[in-house]
Amino acid sequence: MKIKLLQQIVKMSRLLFFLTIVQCASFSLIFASNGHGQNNASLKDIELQLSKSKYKILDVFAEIEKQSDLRFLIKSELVSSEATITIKSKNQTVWGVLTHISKATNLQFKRVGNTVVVLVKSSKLVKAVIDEAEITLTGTITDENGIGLPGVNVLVENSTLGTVTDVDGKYTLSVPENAVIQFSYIGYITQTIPLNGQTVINISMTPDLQQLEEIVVLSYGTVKRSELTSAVAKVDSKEISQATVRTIGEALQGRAAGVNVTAVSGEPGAGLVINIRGASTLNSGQDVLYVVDGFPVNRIDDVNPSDVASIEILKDASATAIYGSRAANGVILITTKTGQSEKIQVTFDSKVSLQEVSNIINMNNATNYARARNRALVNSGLTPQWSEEEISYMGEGTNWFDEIIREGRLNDHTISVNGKSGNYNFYSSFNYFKHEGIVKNSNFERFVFRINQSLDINKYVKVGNNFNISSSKARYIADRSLPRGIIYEAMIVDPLTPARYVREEDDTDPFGKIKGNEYSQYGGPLTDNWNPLAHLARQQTTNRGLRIFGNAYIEVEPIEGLIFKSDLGIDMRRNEDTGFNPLFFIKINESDEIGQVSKDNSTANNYVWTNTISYNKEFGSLKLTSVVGTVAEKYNNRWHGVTRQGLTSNNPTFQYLSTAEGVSSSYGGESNSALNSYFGRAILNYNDKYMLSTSVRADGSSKFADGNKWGVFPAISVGWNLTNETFMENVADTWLSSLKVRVGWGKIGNASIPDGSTLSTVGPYASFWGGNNYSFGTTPELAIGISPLSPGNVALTWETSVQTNFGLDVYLFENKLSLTADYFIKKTTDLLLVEPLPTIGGYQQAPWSNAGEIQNKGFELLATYKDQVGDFGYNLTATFATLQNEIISIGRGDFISSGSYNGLDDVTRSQVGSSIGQFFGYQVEGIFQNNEEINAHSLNGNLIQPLAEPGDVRFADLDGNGVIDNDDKTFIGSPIPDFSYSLNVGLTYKKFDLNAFFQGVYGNEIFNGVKVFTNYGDGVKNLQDGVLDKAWNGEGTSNTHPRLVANDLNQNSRVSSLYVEDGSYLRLRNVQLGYNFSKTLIQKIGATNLRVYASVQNLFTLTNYTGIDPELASYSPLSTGIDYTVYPKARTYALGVNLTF
Amino acid sequence: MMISGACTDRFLDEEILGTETLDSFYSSEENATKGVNALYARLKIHGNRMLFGDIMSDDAWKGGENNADFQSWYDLLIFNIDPFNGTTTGMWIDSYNLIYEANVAILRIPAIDMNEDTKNRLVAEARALRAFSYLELVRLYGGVPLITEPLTPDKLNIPRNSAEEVFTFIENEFLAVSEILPSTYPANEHGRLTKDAALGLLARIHLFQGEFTEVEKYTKMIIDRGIYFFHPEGFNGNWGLENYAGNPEFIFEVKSFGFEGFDIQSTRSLLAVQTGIRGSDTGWSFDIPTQDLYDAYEDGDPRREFTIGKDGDIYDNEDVLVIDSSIPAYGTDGDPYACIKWYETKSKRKNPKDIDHYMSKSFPILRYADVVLMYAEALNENGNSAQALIELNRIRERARNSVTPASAVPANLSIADQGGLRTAILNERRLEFAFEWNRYFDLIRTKTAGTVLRNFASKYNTPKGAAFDETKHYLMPIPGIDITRTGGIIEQNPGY
Repeated sequence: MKIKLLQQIVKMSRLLFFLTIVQCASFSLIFASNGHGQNNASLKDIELQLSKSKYKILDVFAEIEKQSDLRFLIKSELVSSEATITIKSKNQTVWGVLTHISKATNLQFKRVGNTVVVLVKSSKLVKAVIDEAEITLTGTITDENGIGLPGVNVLVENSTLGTVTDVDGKYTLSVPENAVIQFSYIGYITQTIPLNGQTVINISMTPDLQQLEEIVVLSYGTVKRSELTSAVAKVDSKEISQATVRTIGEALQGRAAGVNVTAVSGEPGAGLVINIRGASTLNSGQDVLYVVDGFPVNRIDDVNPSDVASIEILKDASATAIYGSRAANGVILITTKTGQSEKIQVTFDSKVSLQEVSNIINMNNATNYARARNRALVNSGLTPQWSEEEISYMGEGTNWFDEIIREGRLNDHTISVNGKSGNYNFYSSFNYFKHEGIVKNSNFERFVFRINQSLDINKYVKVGNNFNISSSKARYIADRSLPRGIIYEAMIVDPLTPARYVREEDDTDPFGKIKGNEYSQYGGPLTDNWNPLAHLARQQTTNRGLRIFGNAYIEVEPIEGLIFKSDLGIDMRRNEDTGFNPLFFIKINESDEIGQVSKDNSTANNYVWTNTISYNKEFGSLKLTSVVGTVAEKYNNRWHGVTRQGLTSNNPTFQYLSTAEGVSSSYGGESNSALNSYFGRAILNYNDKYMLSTSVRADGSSKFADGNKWGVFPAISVGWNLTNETFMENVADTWLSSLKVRVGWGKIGNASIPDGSTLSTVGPYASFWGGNNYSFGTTPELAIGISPLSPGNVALTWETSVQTNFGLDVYLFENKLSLTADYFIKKTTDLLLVEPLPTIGGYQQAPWSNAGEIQNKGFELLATYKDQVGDFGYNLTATFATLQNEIISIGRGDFISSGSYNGLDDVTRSQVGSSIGQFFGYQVEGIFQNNEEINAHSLNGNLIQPLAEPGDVRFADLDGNGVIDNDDKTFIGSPIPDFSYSLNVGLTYKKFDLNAFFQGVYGNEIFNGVKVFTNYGDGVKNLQDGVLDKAWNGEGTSNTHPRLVANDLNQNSRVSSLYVEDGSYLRLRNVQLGYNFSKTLIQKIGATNLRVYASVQNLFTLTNYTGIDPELASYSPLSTGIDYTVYPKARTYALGVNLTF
Repeated sequence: MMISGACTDRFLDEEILGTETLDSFYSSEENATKGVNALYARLKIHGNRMLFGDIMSDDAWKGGENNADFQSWYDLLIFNIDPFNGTTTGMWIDSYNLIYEANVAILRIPAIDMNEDTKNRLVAEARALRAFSYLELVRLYGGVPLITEPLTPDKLNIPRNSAEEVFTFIENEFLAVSEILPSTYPANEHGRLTKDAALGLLARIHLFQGEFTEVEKYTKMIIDRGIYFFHPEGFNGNWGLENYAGNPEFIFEVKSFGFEGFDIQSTRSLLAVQTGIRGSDTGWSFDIPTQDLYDAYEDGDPRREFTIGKDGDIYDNEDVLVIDSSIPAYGTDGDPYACIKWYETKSKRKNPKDIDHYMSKSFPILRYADVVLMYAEALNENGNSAQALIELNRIRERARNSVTPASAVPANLSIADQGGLRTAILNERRLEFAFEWNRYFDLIRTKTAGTVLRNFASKYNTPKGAAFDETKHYLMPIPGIDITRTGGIIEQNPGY
């Protein structure tokens, strides 16, 4: 594609120069480079040879350019490409030809220096050609800090004469006498200065705090912020660079009110869960839709944050409904960078980081481990396992965290090149990223290459493409396969076992394969747990990914304002997992004498073809922005895998399917789905006072049966800029800069169900207890069995949510203070869920149904204050959001339980009338201090907890039936915060800038599931440091920590309020100090910009939570806020440099 | 609004790949067979049956890592049972799962164009397995909803039938299919349900109701037909890996076998690993024999050493059993015991390196010895105690001859009175069928559960069994989820 485009450039070179479309509101012209010295020659002296008698007028200009150093400046609409002129003589002067053209047309020509400006005659009595001698104006434009500002537009008012400043902010322009010069630059206030005989004008530009004119990217178009009628949050590239992030998702963390971003874990390459305005569905289709440069994708981990120009988060339905079914959970639009200036810019963006574990839980050392186990045994009337003398030799033992944790390292380097040359615009970058995590053996490495380019082929046609190519390699550790997470393993394993143990040949060696085997040189734990260090060493699965996604488009604008665009996007993903289970022997239940290699491959190809016609026009005071279009999407997934047993050696050269000698098994499959959509939207703006936006989208999905395939999703929103009303004029001039109210309503669909959910299917079904196949025969013969899986549901149709949004945008005190407030109500009906059906139906897989209803309500506030006092600048941005969730119905039954773990019962219950995923269990009333208390806990003389002994937990008999049973369970906490908030503080002083970003949640609870094992166990699994002191050990010693007990007859560990903790936290997510070098200094190396910075992520967290990290993520809304230990998050120290040439 | 056009509709028509639909599947003899094979595979969900048969009785402790390991089992054995207990719920769900799949096969197979004999046999097998599921349900829960055809989700609000209706249904079904099922199968089909299996299960459902005329009738039929008989190698012949090779004593068995080179999980049974030895071996140590069971055998009864393993025992002249203190002792003197009926010698295991090695033995749901003891019990109840004693002593004699030279114990009994013989037969069943999931049902059908379990609790000073309450515990609670989900149309058992 790139080569083709370059060929086009060569082929069309000269003509294209003239036909460049004048873009947008900003003035953009083509400027000629300096020629070879005809500056002072009169047009009458420049001779011209014309071979033909009839020319197109534009071709005449081209000939003049070819034969001279003159360059034409022309507004494209002035000359039709078809207009012709008859030439009388082959040998002429430029003056003669232009005069001839002027007589035949309504054009006049004005030459300034090397430039011939083509103008429309203002009256009949004008000179056809004005051949002026130039006045050369020069100057330097600086920003508010006195640094040269490149790219500033310098214009002669009421003309098309102009230039832009160079990289140092300098400019030179030939101008007429008495001209008025206008200096403009996006983000700065435009200044207009009359020449009045000056030949040098140096000015300092003032930043424009008037945000209202910010351009906001919407689906299939853009609008000015002042025209916006729905809830849209924007994050720009500056904010992204201030956050020192690894992924785009991280950059969104806490940046927009109502948008929750949580990292699944601190593991290299781990994903993020992004949630906009709370969970509004119960199925697994929680994914936000990402649209990268107009192309919808499901994942953005592979996009380099340095490539991003801006991110828009569309929160309410009136903005997202045009994406119909894809938008059920909100839409995040990502716009990547384009060429910025005529001069090619090369930027190095490089950072290196060190990581340390930010928080870990100390476990008992060997001495205390033995004491705790002994106490648990004694408390159960059993003999202690170790004598005091034995214990006295134990000392510290193994600190397993020290064994598995290391210093993490991050390398993140991007080199990018961008530029624009008339009709061609490009941005290209290459990124190398490597993360060695803080747990040994967890690594992630990635290359990303991006190319964005566009070309104006002619006045009517524009083509372009954006492509992101990434290749990654990761080694994940056991963390993903909970409950055997490596952190959990390190917590519970006994500290008596040495981490490493050299096994000699003469050791017990049942498989005869220990000799020289690196995987066997570890201590075998005394309990039936594994050695975490050995387990890490065995985690040999490597994941390799290749992804190419992007789009190519063509835009045709046959008449002004009417644009046809056809955009073909593709997202191709290849994934390969290479697994290797080594041969080893540590102890009988931690050994493998067979070994295994595996290879799993998956391929996903998504195609999206979008065709739109947009029409934008102003009718007097009424401005219309409209678009209609269609989208066709195809999804194809293919997968297969092979596992083969029987390694002959652990030698890396034998870790292949062909070199294994045992049996193999394999699997494979494919799935397809399709989506077809029609949509349209119109935005009307009357006088910048009244705005109306309305859209409708019809979606058809292959996932539903005939007759139910289509859903229609309309939206409407209105806005009123009160400050533009005449009655507000007086106020608007004083303290109120702008006030806008918005109301929006929209309906969106969701089809996140597996392919084929409408069908009654059959197939093999494997459960933990065994699968479908059987063996008949006196010598066993395999008998394949096939079962009905799901009865299917042909009536399935779209889950729909209706959202209403009320918004207010206020700008105060010359725009220094801005406030955006939104209130929304989102109601989802016909929830797609696996309905809790009576189990007497007997279905292996219960069918999907449209059942149930959920409502979310919330308030969101974003406030920004910025000001500059002398050299000191500051800005404050705060967000605040609340969320109330209620399940109105879930079809049959009135609750869904979830979150069971490692033998524990379900932890959460999502019940009608309550919010999603509330913790549900027994209510703890304290610890029995003595037998009297146990006896007093009775009904009609019968003990309520007959098996309890002093030190055991007292549970509340809520239903008063005299026994502790299921009916005594109640709601014991909520994972949903009362509110979430963030504060960003930015300070600038001369060349220094400091940015600090705080984020937090308040009022939520966490179910600390780890405590079940680390605080109240039987002492076989290791316990948390300090438990010996905290646990009940005699009357009056504790009313919160039960005794340690080897045989827990009272079931102290059942799901109860004992594990529910306050989950509120405030975290300093990021603090960054930067320094911008002065331009004059770095000029010596030819650079235009050099910034260095240092940052710390996760510097501190204020919380009462006693687990490792209060920030927990879950892919399922049914089981959030449960802590089963994850890969710990790191504190990251980064040093970065940003250098531009 | 409907948008429709030929082009669009084609675009949105995506076939489901790699998965057959029910309509296309039930179209050939081969697939009909596969559908019925899967019903047999359902029988391998052993965990719950082990719990109800052994662990809730006086034969076995729960075992495992500690009491919290499989908490819902622990709740059951201390009779702290509520309608949301995971195990009572799981047993119910698994049973109705088999019933649904059998109903699909019974409905769909008759329409297939195939060999009529095979068709009739396959439908009869599915009916027998469905009846077996109802047998398990009615013993635990009493009357349950009787569903005899596959139901769509909107038709599931149906109430319980009475226990009598369910019993009658089971009896009629077993009787009907006993007329259709073959007496034997070719060697490669061995393990499918036979006429004798249907008759034996028919006897079992009558036995559970105390209908001894029918028990006598059907057990005698089986004995007289002579197709099944004691294992020629004696009692222990039933427990080796060889029990796979067409054991003449197993009338209805669950075959499991870890096929190499195939998805081993699909044919596996976890029973060997569930009952395997924890710590020193790759087992979990569930279903741990009680001292009470150990003591119930006379010293020298060969059946004890083939049922209960002790620390230091040598199994099959190969494996030294190491049962150490990493397993809770559970009131035994010293180290706990292990159930070794399902133990497999390490050298013969299919995948010895795997943490979860898979059993490659057959598990008997009904064996000839059971028919003989049911016959004996029926004879005794029907007034023919003399003949009953002869049948009982056949069992004891066979036990003695299980070792070479033959053991002196258990000696033949000579009990004349009906009551004494009744107790002796019940005890013999305990010794003969320990860990074959019979004991608890023997205790509840004879209404002796309360006495036996409470005596056990006080003798061993344990909460296990202490709370057995005759007013409610003869039946398990109906799972609370189905009461909620049918809006109370399904009603709860008394006391829960």
